[in-house]
Amino acid sequence: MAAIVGRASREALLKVSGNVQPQNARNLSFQNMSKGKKMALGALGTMTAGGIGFAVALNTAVLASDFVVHPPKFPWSFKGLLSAYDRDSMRRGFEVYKQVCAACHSLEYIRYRELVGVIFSKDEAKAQAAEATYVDGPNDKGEMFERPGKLTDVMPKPYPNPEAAKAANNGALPPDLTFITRARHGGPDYIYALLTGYKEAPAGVNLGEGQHYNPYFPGGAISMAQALYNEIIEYQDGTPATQSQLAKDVVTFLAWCAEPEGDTRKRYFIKSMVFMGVFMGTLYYFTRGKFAYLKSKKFAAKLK
Amino acid sequence: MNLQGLRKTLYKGIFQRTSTFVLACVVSAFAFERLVDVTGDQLFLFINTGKMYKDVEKKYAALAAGSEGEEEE
Repeated sequence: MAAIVGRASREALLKVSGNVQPQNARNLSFQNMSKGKKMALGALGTMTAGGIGFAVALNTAVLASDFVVHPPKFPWSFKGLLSAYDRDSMRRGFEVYKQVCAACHSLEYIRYRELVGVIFSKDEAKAQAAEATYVDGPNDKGEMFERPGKLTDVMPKPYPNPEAAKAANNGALPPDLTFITRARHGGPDYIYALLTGYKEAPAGVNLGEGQHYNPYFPGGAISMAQALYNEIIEYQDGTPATQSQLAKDVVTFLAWCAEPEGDTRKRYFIKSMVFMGVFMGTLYYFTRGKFAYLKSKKFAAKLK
Repeated sequence: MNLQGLRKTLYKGIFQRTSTFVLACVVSAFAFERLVDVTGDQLFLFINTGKMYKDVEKKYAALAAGSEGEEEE
């Protein structure tokens, strides 16, 4: 866009008005730069490019010495600059979380009201919340009481505190899943690979009591047993509940949990790009206009 | 209308007085914001057809209506 504006308006912008003598001012160009300066600039450019290349190379290393399998990249519905979370998949993922994951993992920072208009209607979300019981109070006699959940409640916790969770799981703490796709190297790809990647331990790998072998888990020995099997739950919409389907749906849901603002961000990306396109054209026009005056001047000092 | 005439009309109508200039700024800012906002959202919804909440709502409403276990896709 800026190029079009420039081509159309170059003549007009560079035209000098008034009685200023148009001269070719060369002190702002590379043409009459000394050889040493040119070489110094060239060296600086080469060093910068080399440094960036080196940094990129370091970050794309194979890391073959790690004792861990890196997950492959999967084509997520929310992967891409303008792609939204697939709400259909998320709703199934919530079913998976509720019926499978929630037995051990909490989802502390998600409230039922946040699901309204995303995967549930208000009434459906209220019904979901009412299935759980919460301790509330104190009432006017100073006693705690139990009540069904409301929209403003967080997801029910499986254990009252981390110590109880550890005691029930061989000393291993099941992590909270709210930010799990942001909190693990590899993100959604890693969670999917982990959920579907359980294997028989190969010869020579010693597992502790209650541990399982998963090549995607750093170190290989994981305290979480394989949770997802074919047909372990039945989807409300009748989608065949294969292991990979379950894992895909729950990862889509958890990715939303970690970044519920993701879709808004992508909407604003479109709008800011439109705005910045217009702004860039304006700025280009303005800059050329300002510099036309400067570039057509030459300053000289006459020494007596 | 030639370019000179257009410039003159623009100047006389908008830029000459501060009041009309400010009014033009406010009106065009509002129009631009609405245009970008609405078309941006429409574009986002068009790209993500079938993935938004309204599609889920429709699907589960249909499921609830024919609740004899007939799966409609």
